Amino acid sequence: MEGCPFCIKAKSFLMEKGIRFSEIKVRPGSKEWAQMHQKTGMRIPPQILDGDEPIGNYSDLVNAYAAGKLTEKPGLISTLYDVIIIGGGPAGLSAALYAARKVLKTLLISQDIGGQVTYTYDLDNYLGFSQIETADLIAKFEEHVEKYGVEKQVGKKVTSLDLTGKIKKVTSDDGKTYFSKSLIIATGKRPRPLNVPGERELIGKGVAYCSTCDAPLFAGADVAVIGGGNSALEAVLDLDKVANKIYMVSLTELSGDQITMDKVKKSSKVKIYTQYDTTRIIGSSSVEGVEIKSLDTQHVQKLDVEGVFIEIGLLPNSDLVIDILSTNEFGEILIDNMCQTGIAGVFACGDVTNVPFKQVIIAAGDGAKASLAAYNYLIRQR
Amino acid sequence: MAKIKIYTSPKCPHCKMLKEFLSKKKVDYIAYDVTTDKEALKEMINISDGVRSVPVIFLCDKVIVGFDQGSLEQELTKCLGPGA
Repeated sequence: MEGCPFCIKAKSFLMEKGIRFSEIKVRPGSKEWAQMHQKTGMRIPPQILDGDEPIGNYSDLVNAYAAGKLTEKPGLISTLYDVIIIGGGPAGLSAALYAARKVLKTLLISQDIGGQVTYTYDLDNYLGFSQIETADLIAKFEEHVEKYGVEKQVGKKVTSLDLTGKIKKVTSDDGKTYFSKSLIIATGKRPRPLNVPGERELIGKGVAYCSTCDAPLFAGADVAVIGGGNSALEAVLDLDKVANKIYMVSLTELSGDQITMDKVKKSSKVKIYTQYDTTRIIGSSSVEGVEIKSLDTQHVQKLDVEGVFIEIGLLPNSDLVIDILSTNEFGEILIDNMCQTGIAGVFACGDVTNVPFKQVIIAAGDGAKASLAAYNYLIRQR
Repeated sequence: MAKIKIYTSPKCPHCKMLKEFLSKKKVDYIAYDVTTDKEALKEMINISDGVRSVPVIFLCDKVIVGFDQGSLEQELTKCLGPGA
């Protein structure tokens, strides 16, 4: 019944113990109220039934549990976590560490470990490391988290979230549902696709999003880089070492660090097309060319290339919550300075949020903040 | 004899993570650097039907492109049996 503290207590108790139950809401005078009376002889909610057998009220439930009299055994629903963290990049891993150190029952679910940072070979701006390979930094992060024995489900994609109740439900692509008192969303960003014909079909077969990984595979080849910002410029420089000819195609004028732009402009291998749209990637079993269109003259031309590196920015992985949480025009989850999303018990951190300056160290710091905020929230719920 | 071949490039973080993952699982593998080993690059493109992206993993006649821990774990179990 609404406004019934012992009903809430009974539900929390069952949740805590992992005992499956279904809830029948009653109101004085309703059909359900009459049923409750008929089955239990009582008119004061909550009334708990084990199968058809009436157990009594909240304290009877606790006693029945303590005496081992319940036929529904504990643990039939998944464990109830204090916090579930979605995402295994710097924000998620840092959140996991802080949660574990607060002795919260924690689960980290992620498709991968490392996230976007693994699209970069090395870093030279993470405090304490003047130069470190990203794979090594992530291994250190993971090792640190593992020290605290955080439960992890890696390689699992979260397919749906139910944030309506006090207990949050997280369902993954293997059909499992996990229950938690709080949730931290640290799903980061992914490379933005061009969304042109041929792109999806030729991913890995000439269409690439990781120049540091795949540039060396295009030795002696003619290639195109799509984009006009810093990551596109960096991709051009990665390719400049190995490729024969590099076409840089950008919708806008180039923008980025002056030093990088100068290096790109100086290279004899690079031909720059600004104010050009990329309209199609051509090829049957592998990339054979790219079609570009001048914004000015509408003239369409084909560039013969074996590789197309797409570096047009990033998209936040907020699809799961886009209809539930407030987001900005980029799709980033809006959070306050306590990483709160607007739904009680749901926090977000890292690059999926509107926090300015996307940096590994900022994501890691925000992950810590989200966990501490979740901890404060959980304390207040007790 | 290692049942698993992996095709990698030196500056590819996913390749390094893949190697660490396999080592942790105590799985034997042979790694090729396709930036220096042109034969291996040809072989990689050949077996993968034109893939030019690393890492490529070849195990039990199956080709996997990229390092996705979840699906790789499943394939390892299929290929090497449970406990792999």
